[in-house]
Amino acid sequence: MGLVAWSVAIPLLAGLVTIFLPSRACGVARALSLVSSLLTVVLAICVWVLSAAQPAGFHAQSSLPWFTLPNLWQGTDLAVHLSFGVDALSLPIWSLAILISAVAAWAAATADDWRERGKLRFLWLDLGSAGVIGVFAATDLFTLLVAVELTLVSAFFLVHLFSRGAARGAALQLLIYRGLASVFLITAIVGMAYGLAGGFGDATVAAQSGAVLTFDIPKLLSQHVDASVFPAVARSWLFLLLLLGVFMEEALVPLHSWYPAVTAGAERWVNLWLGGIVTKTGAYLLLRFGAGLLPDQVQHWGALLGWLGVINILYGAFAAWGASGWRRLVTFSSISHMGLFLLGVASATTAGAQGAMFLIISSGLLTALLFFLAGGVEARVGTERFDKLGGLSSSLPLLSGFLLTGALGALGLPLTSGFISEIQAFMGSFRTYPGLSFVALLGLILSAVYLLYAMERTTFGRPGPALEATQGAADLTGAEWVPVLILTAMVLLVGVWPSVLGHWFNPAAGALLRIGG
Amino acid sequence: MPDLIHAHYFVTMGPLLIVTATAFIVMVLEFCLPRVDARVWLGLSILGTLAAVVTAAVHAGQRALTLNSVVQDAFSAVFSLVILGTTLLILWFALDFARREPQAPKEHPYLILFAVAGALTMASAVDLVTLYVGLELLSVASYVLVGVRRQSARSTEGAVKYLLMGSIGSAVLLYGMSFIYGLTGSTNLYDLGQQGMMLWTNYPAVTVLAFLLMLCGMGFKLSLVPFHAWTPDTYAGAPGPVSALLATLSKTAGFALLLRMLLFIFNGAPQVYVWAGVISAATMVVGNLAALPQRHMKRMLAFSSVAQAGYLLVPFALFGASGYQDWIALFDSLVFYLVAYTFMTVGAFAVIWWVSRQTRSFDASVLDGLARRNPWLAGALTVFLLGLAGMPLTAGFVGKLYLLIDTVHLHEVWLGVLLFLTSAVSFYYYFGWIRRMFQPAVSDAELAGTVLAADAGVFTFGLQFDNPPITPHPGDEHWQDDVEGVRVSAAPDETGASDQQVGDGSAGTDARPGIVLQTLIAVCVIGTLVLGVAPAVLLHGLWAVGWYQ
Repeated sequence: MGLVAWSVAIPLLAGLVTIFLPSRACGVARALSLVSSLLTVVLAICVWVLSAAQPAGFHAQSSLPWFTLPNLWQGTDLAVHLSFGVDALSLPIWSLAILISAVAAWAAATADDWRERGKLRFLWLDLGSAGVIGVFAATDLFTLLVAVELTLVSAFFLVHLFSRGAARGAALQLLIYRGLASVFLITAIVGMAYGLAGGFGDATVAAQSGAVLTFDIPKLLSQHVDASVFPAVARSWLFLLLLLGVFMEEALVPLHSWYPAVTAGAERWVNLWLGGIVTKTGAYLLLRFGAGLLPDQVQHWGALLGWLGVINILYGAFAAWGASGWRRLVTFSSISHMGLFLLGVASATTAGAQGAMFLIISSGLLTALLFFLAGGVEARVGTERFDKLGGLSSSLPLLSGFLLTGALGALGLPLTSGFISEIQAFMGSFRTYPGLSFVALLGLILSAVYLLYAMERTTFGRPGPALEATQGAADLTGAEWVPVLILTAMVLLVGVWPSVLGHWFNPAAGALLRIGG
Repeated sequence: MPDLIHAHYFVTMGPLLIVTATAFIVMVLEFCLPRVDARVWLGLSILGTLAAVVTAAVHAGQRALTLNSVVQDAFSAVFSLVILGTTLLILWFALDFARREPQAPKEHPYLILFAVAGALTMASAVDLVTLYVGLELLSVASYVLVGVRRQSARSTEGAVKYLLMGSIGSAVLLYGMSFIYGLTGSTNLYDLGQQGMMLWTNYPAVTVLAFLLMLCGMGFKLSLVPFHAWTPDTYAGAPGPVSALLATLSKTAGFALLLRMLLFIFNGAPQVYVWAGVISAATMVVGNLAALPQRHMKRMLAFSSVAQAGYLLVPFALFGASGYQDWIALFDSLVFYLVAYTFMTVGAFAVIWWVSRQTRSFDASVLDGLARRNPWLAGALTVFLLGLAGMPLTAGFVGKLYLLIDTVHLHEVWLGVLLFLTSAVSFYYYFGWIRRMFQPAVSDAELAGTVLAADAGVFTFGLQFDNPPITPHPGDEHWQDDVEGVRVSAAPDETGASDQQVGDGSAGTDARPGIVLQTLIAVCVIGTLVLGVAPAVLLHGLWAVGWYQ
């Protein structure tokens, strides 16, 4: 088995072992979860180092034959594999999934109340990590679908079990939204596989050109078919279906309502995990299958994508500005970032696509960091609402400092990951849609406004009514340093030395936009 | 020399003869020896069924036609094996039921066997009259099975509804058959198959009418929308094993009959199958939406089985769009989903029966915290519900994916998309149960308040469900119907602690199911998971079947 397959197998095994532990043994579950996260991080570093010399193509692949579906297409069987591997596009995002899952496991394991429902906590986090890592590592459509659904079920249980108050009901909302999303994704992706085999066009031409029905993603990506085999109408429908799925999966306006509902009540490590990586799966699938298999459709529907992107940027920004507390602000700021992602994809330029990829990483890191820090504030002060906060910098200087760093990253200050991502996305989009991009710039200004305004009300300014509670509270504790330092370091690393990601994303962006293919 | 023992009869009708003979033997013996425990008769029935399975398996490869009306071909072999396997599961379930409910009617064993005989006839007859006789045998046995508990008002209510609606269905079906007979002068399916093209070219209007009548007639039996109204009451009124029988065995047999009848008669009229698509779509949508507000567990499973029947009807909508070679894939999808559905449904009914028996209530709130009280039972029910919802690594997902691929392949994608869309709606109620089982202790009122406030507006299409919990109280029929012993012993007792007369003293809220029920549930879990993780076991078996040989 390749290294990438192990990155899924290890957390999955940890989860399966946890099922059979007695519920008193939550310490064992905790240790399993931490050890498996650490192992996956080591794996990611190994794959990163081993593949760095040759970024193109798929790395560390492994493929186990799973089962065959007999006589699916033109009398041939369809082999379904359990196969994993990463290429230049998925490797950094897969690493992000591993990092965020590991940080979430650490945060869950070091929370004060980690013994409370300890077994279920680590069980679902392990399974969910296996699922979400698998989404980015899968190189077979069936494997991918299994991973998507495993992520869905685990996210549902985590939100349901570890939320407070009315937000518990939001778990079902997440389930239905993302469940419907997976319906559209399944249909669109299976339809694309059929389309590339000639399912919607001239089957005889398809057979002559050697097109076959396959679920193998590298093979799908390398199949070039002409319009008589895969007509433009079918492509359009499949692309729109995929886009619909991505919008629900990704919580983009107007299908975003589950996301703020969930983050409003979930514990901070759940938010960190959801905001950091689970809401990035849709973006990855759009790049992989939308831009990768149907690049002409990205151009064809570019204006639609661009408009939707701008709507998301502005809606997210205004909603974040109007937010009454940190949870809502971070949520909508992340939606706003993903709007810029859409704009970058819509530009159909290499710079835009690369900016979009950077945004996935940057938004994942910053959202995770901000959720974690805001959760830290809430744990100490007892509230995350701006009208109760204020003047924290005197009593909690370190926490306030890192919160400021995260906020500055999110508003795109140079030398943070936010800056390099946004500048690339805008460079691409200004080339294709200068007018739209100009409107979108307003989102950048707004993000500075709402983030600095929020910082002003939280850390600086007059001491808020809740300040008395913080007098005795400790600043960042030992266990909290780990996630904060790791995430901040990553944000700065990408900002200062962007070629660490560009090394991968540059060839990936070039390969995605084989325009006309 | 005359063939005195008619050995070739045994090739075509072996399982049928064995099951019928066992049924008569059990009936007579039960009448002669009234003091013997019902479990003995169930054991005898299981032995008879096993003998029938062996006979069916031995003759599976052979092909024969008897009396020009019963045939042994690939259809009958596959469907007979599925039916007999389902029978074993249900008899096994009934065995535990009889152990726990000594007052349960002793007629169960042989009535189940007569129903199975009817089902086998439906799978292997090639004459409209014989098919109809099989259908009626199954139906009449089922009516009695539902209504046999004379003291229970709900049981009787369910039986009467079932009887009335079922009789209407039979009449409508017969009416449709009479058109076909009138046009062709034959009831033999082979003759009708020859004349299929003639029917459509000469009498298109009457052909469509006959198709619709036959489909609607079977719609009553298969509880397709809009003929499904009897389903929840009947399932709720029937004892656990009988509900499972109605939901699985009678559906398998009904689909077998529908498949054979429609394909033989309407092979020259591909246009008519669009109606099957319409009914399938309506069934998926209405079944799933109607299941949303249910709190009574068996009623919810009933609506869920309505929705599942809609999924099973999807291949029928595709027969028109495809040629003989593509039909093979459709047969495979149908049988695979039927098998998957059987495992999941029998398992779910078994767990529900046990839980409601322990808690004396069919309200879904009895599932609250089941994961703490009995983790294995909760795990098993989770597997079944995930399967019914169509989650990967369970049989339900592979079955649905296979159906979806068929629709993509045959250019009826809308039906496949609708299948998955309605499955996503079904997440709401399936996961609602799972959530109940795993949730930390919260009061029901708090939960209902938060959930409805948070989600109702979003995905119930603005419907506000007013569904107060079904509170168990003495004299309430809801929980008494499946729990015969309780009626006598502990009716005035609300705590549920004293059920000395129930079973053999093993009852009590924390009791684990006996070994019989445990094996049943384990078999169903294994079936669901194996078909989900390694579907090739069944798919390749089905692919090896020479459907047209």
